[in-house]
Amino acid sequence: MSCMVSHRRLAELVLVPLTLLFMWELAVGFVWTDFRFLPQPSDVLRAFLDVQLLADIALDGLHTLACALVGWAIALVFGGAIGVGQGLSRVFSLFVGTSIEILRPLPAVAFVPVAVLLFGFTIYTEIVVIVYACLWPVIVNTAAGVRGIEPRLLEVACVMHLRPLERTTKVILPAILPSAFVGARISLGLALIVAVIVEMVGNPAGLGWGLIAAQEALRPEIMFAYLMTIGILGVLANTVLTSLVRGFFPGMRELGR
Amino acid sequence: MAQPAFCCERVRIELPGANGTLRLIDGLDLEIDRGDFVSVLGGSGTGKTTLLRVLGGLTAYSAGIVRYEGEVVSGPPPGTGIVFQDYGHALLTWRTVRRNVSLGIEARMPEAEVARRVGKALQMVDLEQSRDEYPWRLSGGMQQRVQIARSLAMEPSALLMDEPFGALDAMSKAALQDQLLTVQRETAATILFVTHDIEEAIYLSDRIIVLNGRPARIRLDLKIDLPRPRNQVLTKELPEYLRLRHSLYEAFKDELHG
Repeated sequence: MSCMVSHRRLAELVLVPLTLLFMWELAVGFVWTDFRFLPQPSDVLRAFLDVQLLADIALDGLHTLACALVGWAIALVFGGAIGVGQGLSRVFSLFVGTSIEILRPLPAVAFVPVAVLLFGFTIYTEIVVIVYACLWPVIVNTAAGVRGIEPRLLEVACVMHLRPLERTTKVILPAILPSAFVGARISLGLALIVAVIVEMVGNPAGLGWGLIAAQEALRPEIMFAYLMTIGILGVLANTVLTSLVRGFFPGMRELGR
Repeated sequence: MAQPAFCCERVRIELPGANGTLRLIDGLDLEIDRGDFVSVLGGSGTGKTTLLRVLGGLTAYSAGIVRYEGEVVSGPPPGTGIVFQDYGHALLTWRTVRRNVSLGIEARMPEAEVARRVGKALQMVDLEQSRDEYPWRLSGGMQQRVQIARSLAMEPSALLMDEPFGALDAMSKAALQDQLLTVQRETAATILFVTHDIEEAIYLSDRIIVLNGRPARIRLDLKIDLPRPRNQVLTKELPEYLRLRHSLYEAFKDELHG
């Protein structure tokens, strides 16, 4: 292994996945398997070429992405505020800390039945559960960021006679950004996962529902087409978020190159 | 006589320690004249840094009185700046050099004045070339110069420097020492310079204060009459320089030989 910094090449990135796909193709095509409903990657590719299906997937993907982003954004606002409050104020932390520690370990999925009873099989159910799931990583990482602020920076703010508002916007908030960003990234991934789950069991729409529908119609190639779309969406969302943050904050060394 | 810049009367400094309160400094009387370059020397743990933090209003003292320009110190006194040893922690990594330097003044004066002061400060520490770099792209010596420029931009009448060159290699150290002497000549600021480097203290200072003991007191208070401007080679060959060096090493004999 070289320690030298080098740029990753596309070939190195896709070599292993392509090999796996190729082995899968061979395994299903030429080797005896017991799975009646396991398609070959080439079947899935053919499914993608069907314009009608492609349009369905695109619309479903749009629904899932929109729900995930809306829920995620709401969680960022509230989670960020709670996290900053927790990090800054011992009293606030004391009051909300217990509730957070009790609610946080509860699996978000367990709230789907509750949400369905309250909001029905609707988009509201989906967004509420996504917000719930995304809230915790944001809170925890933002609070950790505030607590982890280099004390020297606060002394610098003091020596420079920065006013409280200046200190917050020019020192504290930028200093916690890298750690808050970690929370945002984790919860963006969660948002997609939870969106798909809720669509499978709560709100009949989007990619999750498309997956179930394909399964019930015994169309494995369509099912895998949906599955791959979900995977690609996750990678894309993470990449876009990372490059956006890098673009906006070019000095954030902590975000990595 | 003119009013001193800093004035300490019977100052006691205590810090919380593992075994109760630690009395670091007691009964300290000290006056620092305006425009003087004063170094505080002492072994590690003698409270040099703590004394600097008390003068800079960052650490509370428990008895006596500390004044800056006649005003009792109860927070960073206006007109003073502090340069910390750990430039890596003291700089804002997300701001460019220029915007680090403008941190303390950008909300207080018109943009043109901010730009003028930042430009002047960067020129004084010879960093104009790197104004748009991020500090973490710079060498240690350059980062420390950014921190010094940030203080200079506020046009302080007193600069408190806590082992600012302690983490630097010998070459950068010598270069920054000379730059600091130029800065002091141009700004006439009072400088309090904490160091554990005897040669550095003699080379830079008008006066050296040696702290030792626990609680610490002033063991030596030397006036340095070496001619200015000083020169890294010539000044250090003067008999007076060697004599001062000799007597200071003598004072630290116990610490140097265990």
